[in-house]
Amino acid sequence: MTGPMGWPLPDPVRLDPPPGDPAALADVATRLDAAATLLGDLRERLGGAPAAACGWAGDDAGAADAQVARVGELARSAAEALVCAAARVRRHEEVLTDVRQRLAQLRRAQAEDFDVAVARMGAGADPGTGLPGPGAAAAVADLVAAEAGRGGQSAGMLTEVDVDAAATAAVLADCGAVPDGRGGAGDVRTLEDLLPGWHAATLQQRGAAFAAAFLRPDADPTDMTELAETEAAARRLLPWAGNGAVAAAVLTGLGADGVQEALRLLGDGSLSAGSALAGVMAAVLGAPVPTGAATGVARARDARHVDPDDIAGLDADHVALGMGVVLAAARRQGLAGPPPAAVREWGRQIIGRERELGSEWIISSRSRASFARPGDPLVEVLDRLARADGGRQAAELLGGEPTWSHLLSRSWEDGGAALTAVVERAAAEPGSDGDLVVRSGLRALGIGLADDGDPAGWTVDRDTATLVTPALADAVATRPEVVVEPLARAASGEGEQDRPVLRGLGYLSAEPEAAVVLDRALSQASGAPAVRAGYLAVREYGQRLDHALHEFAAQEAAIRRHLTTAMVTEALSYVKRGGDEVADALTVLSVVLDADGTWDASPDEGLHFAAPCGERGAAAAYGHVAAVLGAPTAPTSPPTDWVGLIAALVPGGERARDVVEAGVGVVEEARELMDADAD
Amino acid sequence: MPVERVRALGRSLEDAALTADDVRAHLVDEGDLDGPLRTPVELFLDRHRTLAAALAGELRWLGPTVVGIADAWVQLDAALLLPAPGAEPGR
Repeated sequence: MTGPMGWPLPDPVRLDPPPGDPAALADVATRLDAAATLLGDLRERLGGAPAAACGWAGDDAGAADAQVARVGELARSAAEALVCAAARVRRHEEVLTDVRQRLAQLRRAQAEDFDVAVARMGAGADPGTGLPGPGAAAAVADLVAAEAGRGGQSAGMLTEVDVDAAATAAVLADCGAVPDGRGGAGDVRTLEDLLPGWHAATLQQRGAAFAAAFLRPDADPTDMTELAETEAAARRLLPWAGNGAVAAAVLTGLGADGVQEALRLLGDGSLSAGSALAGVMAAVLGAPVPTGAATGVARARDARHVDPDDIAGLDADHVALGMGVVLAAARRQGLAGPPPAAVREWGRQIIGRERELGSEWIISSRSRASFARPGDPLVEVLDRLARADGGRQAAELLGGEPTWSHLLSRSWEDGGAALTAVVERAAAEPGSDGDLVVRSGLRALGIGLADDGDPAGWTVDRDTATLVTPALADAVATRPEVVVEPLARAASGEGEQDRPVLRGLGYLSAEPEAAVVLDRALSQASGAPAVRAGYLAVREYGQRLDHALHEFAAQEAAIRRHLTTAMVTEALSYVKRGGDEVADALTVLSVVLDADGTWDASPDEGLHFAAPCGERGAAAAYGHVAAVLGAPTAPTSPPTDWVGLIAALVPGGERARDVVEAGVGVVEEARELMDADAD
Repeated sequence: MPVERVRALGRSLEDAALTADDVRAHLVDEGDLDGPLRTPVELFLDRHRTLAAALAGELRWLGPTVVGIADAWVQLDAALLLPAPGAEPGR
């Protein structure tokens, strides 16, 4: 800095006011006091056990007074905290105001000192040379000393303000809104415990907001960014999704259409069972919702989400797959998941669609490229119902023979584990529910078989049946009356209506391990000779049926192979040059490769159970039951066409065919003559 | 149960929520504070706003719940006092 005529002067010390506006602080303190007064008023209004005071008695009144008192106590402690904070803020405002005033005084003194110094330097100055007067050096020295003093005072004042601000901040931090709440999330958690009504309302808002965001009209579920946003929102909601209020808000907010859309999204392979959305759906569908919301929740949850015969697109299949994803999420993430009754309905919807369109229909709609390929939803349904709390619903699902028939007709990705488990669980249900399960299972095993055992109308997958056989045999052993009564009826010459059950029992008894269980159970269950004899007829039927089914399967395979070669041979007949030669070669090959419609029959090495002798009426009972069951008869393979083979192989084979056929005719005539002589 | 007095209590509790709303309105951060206390004051106001909102929410739940209990009591009472079949009205 320079003085008059460029004389050097020291730079003035900065004496800026400290940060902070006293007026703003005063305003804050005033508002804190006003809020404290209102809270004090609130405390007064809530005091004195108002429920009891108005003559209301009982537990409800006591609970109401306790909650009112809790609210009042929070208001009181918050009012005290606000008063304390207001006082401290006001004190800091006073410190700030004082420092600002003292700094203003220093600035005024500084200005005066500089004016004095310039005056002293100018006194005696040489106008010609412009040099300062003789007192200039002293004037500058005095000014420098005064500035140093002011600088020290200013720094001290600023420090004073800083220290007081820190002390004020500490008081504000200590004046918490909630006793022992420690601020932030800690406060909220404490309040959630103390104020359940507010907590429920808050959670409800979160659930409703999630549903509204999911259903926003411009949502594009195929957009990966939006999918990520949905997943992020679900992740935020997941910790609360098991709360009844949240679940009710989510489900009533989504409605049946929204639930269906969420299931579809999960089923199309975009999100896996480990996703937050799957977790949220598993949690909300299993949460115990408030009574008042139960109807709306049921409307959303229990609607028919899977259209059984919609083939316009894959939506219905993806919804079904989404059901499986939700159930898998519940299992993997340890969440409640839909209640057994809802799972039973899901099972019925899935089975309904598969029965309509084919058992592989739904799972074949899964995207192979998807990283989150859903599992078989029916496996998840059965797995859930196989748990301890699902017995009644498992029995209700398996109480119908059509359901059983479907379950036995399909293959299972889990090796039949879930099916076996649910059969065990359902059959263990006490009373008529369990009886119906066992009876339906046996009927499903037997229905569709012709009297001769021809399985043309039979839909059972024998591999699947083998998986279930031990569980079903155990179930029959647990409640033998399910088969004893039909056996008794059939043994008495009735029992036409019991044919499928008895045929199913026969099929079951063909499995050696199952037979051991059944033999023991039936021998203990009934001492009636007719029933025992009838059971022997069932065992005989089972053995013959097992062989017949084996041969029918061999026949079917042989026909399938033969059809292929026949079609190719037929096609070759239209080839003008060389077609016949190739066709002949193919005929030879078909014999060699076992594709000529024949098969190697296997002998019936099964056990035989003849009618018992000695017991009165037993043979008749055996005959009656056998008549009801029918007589499985294994098909026989047609003979290999050796003559045709020779005709095709040997040059001039057609001539050889004539000779052989003539020879065969002579031999047959000779045999007939010999037979006549013998007679 | 003094039904009308209990209903009045419920309504009064719900009215009290308005006071808690006023508390919250006084604690809005108007953003005109600067200096070292800006952040501590913001946090302090936020904590107390949360409390005020929670108190208001609880009273809004508590009031209707008390009224609902009184209403349920009236319904139960009415059901218990239904005239016997065949009884003359008013007797």
